[in-house]
Amino acid sequence: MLGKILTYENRLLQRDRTAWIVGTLFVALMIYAAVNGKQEQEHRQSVAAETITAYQTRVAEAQREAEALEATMRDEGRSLDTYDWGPRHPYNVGSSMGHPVTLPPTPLATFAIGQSDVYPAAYKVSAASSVALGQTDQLENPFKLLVGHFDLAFVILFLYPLLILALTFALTATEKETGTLRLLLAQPVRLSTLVWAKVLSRGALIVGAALVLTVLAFVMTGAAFEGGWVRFGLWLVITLLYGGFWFGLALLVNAFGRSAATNAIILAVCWLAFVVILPSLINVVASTLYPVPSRMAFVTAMRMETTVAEQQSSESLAKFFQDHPEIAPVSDDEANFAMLRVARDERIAEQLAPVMARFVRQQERQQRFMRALGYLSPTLITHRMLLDVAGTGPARHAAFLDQVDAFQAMWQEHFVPKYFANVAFRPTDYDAMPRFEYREEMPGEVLGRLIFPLLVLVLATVLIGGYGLRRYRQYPVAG
Amino acid sequence: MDRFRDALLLPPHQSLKTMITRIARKECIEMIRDGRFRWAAGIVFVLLAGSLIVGWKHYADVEAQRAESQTADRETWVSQGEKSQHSAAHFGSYAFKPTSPLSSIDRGVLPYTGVSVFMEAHRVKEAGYRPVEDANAMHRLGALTAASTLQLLIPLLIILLAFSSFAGEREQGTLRQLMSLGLQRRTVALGKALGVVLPLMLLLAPAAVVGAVAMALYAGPDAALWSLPRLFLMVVLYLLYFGLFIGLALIVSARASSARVALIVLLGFWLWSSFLVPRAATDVADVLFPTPTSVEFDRAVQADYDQLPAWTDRTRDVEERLMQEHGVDTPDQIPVSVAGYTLLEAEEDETRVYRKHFDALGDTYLAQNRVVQAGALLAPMVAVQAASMGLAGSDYVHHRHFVEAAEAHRYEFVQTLNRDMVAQNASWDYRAGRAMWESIPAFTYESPGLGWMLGHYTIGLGLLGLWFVAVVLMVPVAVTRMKIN
Repeated sequence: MLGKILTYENRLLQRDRTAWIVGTLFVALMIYAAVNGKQEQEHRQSVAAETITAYQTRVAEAQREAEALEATMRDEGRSLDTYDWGPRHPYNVGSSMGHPVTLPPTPLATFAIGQSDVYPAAYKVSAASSVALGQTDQLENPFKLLVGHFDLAFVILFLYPLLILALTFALTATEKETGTLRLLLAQPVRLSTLVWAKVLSRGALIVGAALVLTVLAFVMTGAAFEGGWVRFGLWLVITLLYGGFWFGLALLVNAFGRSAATNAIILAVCWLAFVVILPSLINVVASTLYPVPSRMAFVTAMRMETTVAEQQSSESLAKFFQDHPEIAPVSDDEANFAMLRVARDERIAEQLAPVMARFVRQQERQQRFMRALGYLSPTLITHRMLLDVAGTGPARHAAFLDQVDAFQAMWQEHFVPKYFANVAFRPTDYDAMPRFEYREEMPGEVLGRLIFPLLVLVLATVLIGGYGLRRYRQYPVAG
Repeated sequence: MDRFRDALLLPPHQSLKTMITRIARKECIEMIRDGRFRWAAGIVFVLLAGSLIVGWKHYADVEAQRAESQTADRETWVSQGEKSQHSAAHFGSYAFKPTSPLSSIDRGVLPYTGVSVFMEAHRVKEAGYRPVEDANAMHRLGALTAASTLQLLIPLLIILLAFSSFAGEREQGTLRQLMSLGLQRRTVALGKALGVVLPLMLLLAPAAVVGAVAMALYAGPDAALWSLPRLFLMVVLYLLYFGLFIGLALIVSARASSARVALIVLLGFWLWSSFLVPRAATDVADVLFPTPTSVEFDRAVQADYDQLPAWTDRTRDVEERLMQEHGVDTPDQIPVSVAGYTLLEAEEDETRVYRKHFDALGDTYLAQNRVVQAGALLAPMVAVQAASMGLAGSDYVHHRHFVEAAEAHRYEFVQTLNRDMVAQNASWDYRAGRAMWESIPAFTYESPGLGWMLGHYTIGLGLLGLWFVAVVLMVPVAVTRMKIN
């Protein structure tokens, strides 16, 4: 029976002009978003790749220069133990050049630009600054950052529910109003079967279109990546569930038997509340209740500590050389500028630890509060999950920064002894330098983070849709 | 024929006025009695009032922190101890970006632009510490401000108020009765429009008055003087925008076959205008005027920087020149500060290189923003959004103005220190003290004038004006051609 009704429903949908218009529009927007997201991401990917290539070239060059320098020194009969500012200076290699690190994008990064446009393009790990990593900010027009990107995540979060609502606000209302529902139910058909058929046929159409287009977009990116398939599968599941939620909601609203026009208004208000108002409201409430201390205060604190540390570090000529290592003489003097700098930074880091901790604590409190309130809107839950799956959200970035911190410790362990030993950085030392290798998250880690929000979304859908189905039992067919 | 009949039945001037007010009154009463409107208006009012309060609190907090940080930074600067002038130039100081009281209404791109510029020798910098970097990813879905309420929600409210103006009456059959009274159609249109304006004013007027009074009382005289004309223009801007939506709603309602169609068309336009066009317009702008990647930018700066003479070469050149000028044979005999002269020259060259590239980048952003403004041809919201943050002083143009002011200050103080090296005939180990640091003026910033700001928004405002005129002209036409049955 269900099969038969499905066939009829599909035929009806095929004749429906609105369905065609909205459907075509949706397909066009999905394609635009996919192409657009891909371009934006390629732009970013090239920055990451170029940064690393540029670094490798610089290291190779420096190594060659060091070799050439040593050859000349040997010819001139000079001792290889002494060194000037240049490729043989350990501070130059360990701190001035440092080691840039970047977070490689996942193959799904084209689907959701997320925060990847505001996170620094690259961080610089160096041996003498434990306070804050140096960073290369991405260049982007702030207005564009404000407006947001036209990527697949935007289409899924904002437009996909609207499409669903456009095709479901009058599941049975019009048939009730025109009286055909009575005729239909005079046949050996249950209302619930009819409603199921309507939901399924529309669901197959819209969710199916969304899924097929997503698959096409994924193929377009050419995925060959460990864990990429899991991420992609999760993306599809989230798309399916988010669509399911809106179908459930439409079912519930329809079940009360109001007119098609009233249903449309109620559903539009729900969309407005979940997609536009709640997110912006929660943002404002969170930042008002748990304001993160301004970076200005942070900057001032950092500077005061730096000044104190500097004034306590030895004589001021050495301080000057800290700013101009290229003209600093290398002497057997114990207090060379590299040592001073390491000592100074150590002290600053120590002094600033409580300030940093306070900042991070307040930030975490705000984040926790927002995550909790985020469960009020399916759009917020889905937004978080989509970014997480695409690897452009805060979770993967935080995991990356943990790895960078560990690497920084390793780098310091490698270089600081060299500063204090006052020995030259030999060409062979270049090969022995630690190198950063990003370890991608395991699929299990991503899944682990998503299980709870996924369950919440499923539960919300089941409750709302289930109540809708129950409510349909009292549907005023004739009234 | 139509016109002829209208002319015959044209009522006297006085009764025309009463007719308009009567229609408006009827519409108003209907609206105010409608529970749906009361709810919607109530929610919008709460959001508007709430966002104003929260916005003001945020502004006051940030401003207090800024003032405190700027004072603390000055204190750090003057008490930095004895050191050479150039060490002090490297010690540097911070310029913290002030925000205008109007940013409590529209935060614009403030979350996406840095809050402080570090000013030191040899380097021109963009402002650092963008608030967005510390914010939750959720912020990207938008934050509630008075501006977002005015730009997104009030138009929705207008649509809700006006979509059935004609289409609804036609469906109920009352449009025939109304028209049978022999009124001029434009009279009816005017009455209907007023019927939307009045309830809207009930909502907006208190907010505007409270805002203006709060601004005048709490912002301090200078800020108030700066803000009030801008606030006034903001009110005009938003009234134009709302007027535009009222007109559009009346046109659509007059032409649509049913109230449902009118609603769908208007909601579609709202979606198009609020979400699709702004995003698409920034994409187009990026294609026409691509933003360089940070790698490309740094490489270009470095390439120019490498063209400058190396430090040792420059010192040698200066030494040779000074030896000639003073008629001495060895560098040791030069009676003036070689270091001072070298630094003066180097700073000038380096600054020129950096400024060239930062100017080009800023110009790219401005060009992009002009393209986005041109998007107002398709959606008036784009122009309103841009001009509103411009008036609030929270747009990119004002940000850049601040960064350039900080840069001008940086160059001036670094060169003052370098000139002092020359004046004191100082070598690298000369020590200057507190008196010198105090003689460097503290960084102060003056917000740019209104005319300067408006100059950046001529495209958007022009297009908005065109939209408004077109709609005002279209309403009577649409109503005249409206089907009554």
